[in-house]
Amino acid sequence: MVADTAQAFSVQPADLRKTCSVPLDFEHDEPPGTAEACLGQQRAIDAIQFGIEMQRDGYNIFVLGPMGSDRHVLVRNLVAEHAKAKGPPWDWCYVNNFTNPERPRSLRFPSGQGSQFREDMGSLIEEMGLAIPAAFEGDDYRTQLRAIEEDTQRKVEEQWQTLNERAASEGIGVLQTPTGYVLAPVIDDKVVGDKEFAKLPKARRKEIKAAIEGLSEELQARIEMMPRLRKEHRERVKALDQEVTAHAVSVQIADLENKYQALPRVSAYLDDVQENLIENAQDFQQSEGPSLPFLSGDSSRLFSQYEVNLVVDTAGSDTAPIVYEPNPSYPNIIGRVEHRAEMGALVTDFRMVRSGALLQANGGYLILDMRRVLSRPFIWEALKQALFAKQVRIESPGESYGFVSTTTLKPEPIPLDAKIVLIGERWLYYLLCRYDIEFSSLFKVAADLDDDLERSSENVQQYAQLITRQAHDNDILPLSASAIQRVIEERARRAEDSERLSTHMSSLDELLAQADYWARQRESDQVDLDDVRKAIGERRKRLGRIQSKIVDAIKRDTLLIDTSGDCVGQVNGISVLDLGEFRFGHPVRITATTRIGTGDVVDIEREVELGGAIHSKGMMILSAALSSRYAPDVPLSLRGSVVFEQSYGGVEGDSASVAELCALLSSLARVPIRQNIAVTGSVNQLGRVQAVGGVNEKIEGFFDVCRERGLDGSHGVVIPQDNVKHLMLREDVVDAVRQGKFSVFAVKHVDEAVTILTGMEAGARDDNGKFPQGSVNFGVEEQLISYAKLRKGFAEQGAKSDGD
Amino acid sequence: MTATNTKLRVVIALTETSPVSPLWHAAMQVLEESPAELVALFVEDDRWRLAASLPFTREFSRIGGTEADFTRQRAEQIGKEAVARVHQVIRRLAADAELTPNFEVSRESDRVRIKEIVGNSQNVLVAPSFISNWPIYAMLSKLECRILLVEACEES
Repeated sequence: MVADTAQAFSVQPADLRKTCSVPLDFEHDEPPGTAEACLGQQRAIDAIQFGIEMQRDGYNIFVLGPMGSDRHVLVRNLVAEHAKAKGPPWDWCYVNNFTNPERPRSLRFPSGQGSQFREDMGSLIEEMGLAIPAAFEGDDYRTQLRAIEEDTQRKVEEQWQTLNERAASEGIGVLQTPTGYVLAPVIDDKVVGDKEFAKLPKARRKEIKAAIEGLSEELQARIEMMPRLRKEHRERVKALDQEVTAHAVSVQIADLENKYQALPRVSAYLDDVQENLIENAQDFQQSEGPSLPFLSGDSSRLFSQYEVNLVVDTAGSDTAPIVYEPNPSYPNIIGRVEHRAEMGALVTDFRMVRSGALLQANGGYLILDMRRVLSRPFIWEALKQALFAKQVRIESPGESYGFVSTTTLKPEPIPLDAKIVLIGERWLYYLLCRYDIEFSSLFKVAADLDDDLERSSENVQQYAQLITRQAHDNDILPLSASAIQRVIEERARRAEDSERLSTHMSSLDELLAQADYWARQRESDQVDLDDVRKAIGERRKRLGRIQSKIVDAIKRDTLLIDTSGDCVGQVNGISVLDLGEFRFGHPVRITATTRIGTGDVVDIEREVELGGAIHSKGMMILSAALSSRYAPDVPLSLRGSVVFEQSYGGVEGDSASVAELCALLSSLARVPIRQNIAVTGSVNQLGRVQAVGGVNEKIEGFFDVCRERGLDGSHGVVIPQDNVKHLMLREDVVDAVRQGKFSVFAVKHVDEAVTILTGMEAGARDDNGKFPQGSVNFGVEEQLISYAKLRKGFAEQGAKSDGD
Repeated sequence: MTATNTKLRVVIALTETSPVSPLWHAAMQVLEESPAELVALFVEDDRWRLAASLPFTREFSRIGGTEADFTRQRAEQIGKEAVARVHQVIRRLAADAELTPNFEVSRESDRVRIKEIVGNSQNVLVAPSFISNWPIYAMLSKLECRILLVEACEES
């Protein structure tokens, strides 16, 4: 009768794996459209579109979703639609700031005009390089220059001639030494030495001295006059040079000003260029004579200050930019000022300012991987700063953080108008929300990608088209209908839910690629059902080393797992090992012991700190379930302990709590548990069995062990009823069930699990509140009452002894 | 060096205040026309040395016009410095031109020595134009050598 009861909980083979039987009503060998590209992601699509269209501060977008979910493709496709409508943004240039070269000026141009302006300035430079030196070589200039020089010379000579004449009239000569001038008496055109002077009459000597005294002041006045004359000369030459330069450049500059008259800042810059050219006209004369090369202002270097550094060039583009920066380092995002070594020193100028992705995306969209942004130093803070300030300030991180004190360029900031799309995992988003107070105000739109979608007939049709499109895009052989159906089934398995389909695209692409490989191996022009099966099986084989080791250890009784017979206080639980790309289940022996005590159930895993928080919670819940269900009128006088045998790593999760409770009940009631059945599921305080994760892997894990030892129809796994909808078991498991070699039982209450595991009735309380005699629960309650009486007896005995 | 040396000679006459470069280049042009021995003759100006012997002579600096006593020691010092400076310039120019000219120093009053160096009428004397105002010029012009006066202001 009990066996019949167990069979009542059996899950039918059809429910163990929901096969894809929906006919595919499309031509799956035709190239598909793109409508299904974002299947199941409507919520995320709406969010992204909202973020793109919302033109207010802070409405940047964070796309949440796991890697491999085609986040980039989705974002790029959506952004591209809007980029077309938006049109190309401004070109941006940096040019010299003639009044403050350390702060290069930024100029903006309509798309394509930046490069035109650069060419125009290049032509101007080329022309100036010829025209200005030619003007200085011209006869007009030389004639005027000579006139100035002669005039100056005449003035100088006049000054000295006057002095010389006056000195000569008084018998004094003005002599030149290497360092200055000397006034000396002269007689008959010969300078008088001390001997001759001594021979002169006293009166004459006195006259000479007086004359020299008188001339000294005049000589000093003449000497002082010389610098003034030289300065006047230089100013006249400079004025002449400027006049010549102005004549040479004015026409060309005027032409450019006319061309760019709609851009006031550009016109103002051209005025500055003209002013600077004229102001520094003398520098443009070709110097003569040897000079040190690194100190000379050669003409190419002089003219380079009028070059244009085009940092954002949108020429040829008719849409707003979409920039994805795979390496979001500080220079790659913000930009940098480069330097070159000259004579051992690092020098730079406005021509060495380089833009980063922010400027390249200005007026459009910048897509970044958040994990990479956070793993590069300084960039997250710099990105936020740029978004808050709505401008890009190109400076080195050292300067930005005040680590560098040397003078360098501070290019004029460029206004920023870009939509930033960050792509990252959900945990990153939630961490940022919690710990970065600025994050939420800058990224107000969260686009949360769904991991799966409902497995409705309509969605299955669209998913089939998605598979066909992925195959087409990735150069994969066409898939047969049965192959597509098998892939869809695998996508349900990936979603861990027979009623949903995974939207994780990279895993789909992997499966298709591997199926394609096997199809090509057999020289087929189509991927068939067997190719998909082979791809799945081979992948499992490649990754299944550890699983096979565990099964082998169980087979060789190194890991003690019984799959036959029965045992008191011992049950087969099932663990899941997650290796990232692959996870699998395997049975673990759970044992329980009980004795009289003070109501404690000891979780040995927790005691030795191998149990996680959720596992501990599960243990406490089952303790509560035990105390609330049995012998409610007496104190719980039990000491029980539960352990995962031969478990040397951490244990986490509450999916073994049904198994643990069953082991405890078995121990209390002294009722043996069948070892050919494993159990998984969590239990609440009322004994209700609840769903757990990894149910497919768990069933398959126990199945694999039993198959190794030989399936005889007695083996099976008890799972929560609520997990039946998640079943997408391997085909070999389903086949075994169909052949009666293996069973899957679904239960809602722990009593049902107890019935299946013990082969005995669990027992329900009658109208008098008593469990039926001979039931497992009766045995449990009797034992607990017995413990309570014994404990009471011990307590009374102890009190009496104390009294004596 | 002797007067009996009959080889053609180009003599550059240099003074404390003459710019070297134009004189040198003029001499190089002469040498291009006809190969000759090159001699740099530094003619020391006697006049301000005589002036230095007077106890009341003052020198007015070319830079700023400040004045200071102009003594014999001062005259000798700046004279020696001038010779050294000009000699160094000549050495550099000669090295560039791969020449090895003789460098001679003579007082303007030492007419015999100057005459010996300048030599006979076949030689060429390259001199600054202002030397024509110097007393030595009368003697030089009588030597009948070819005198090439180069327009060069006294350095001021």
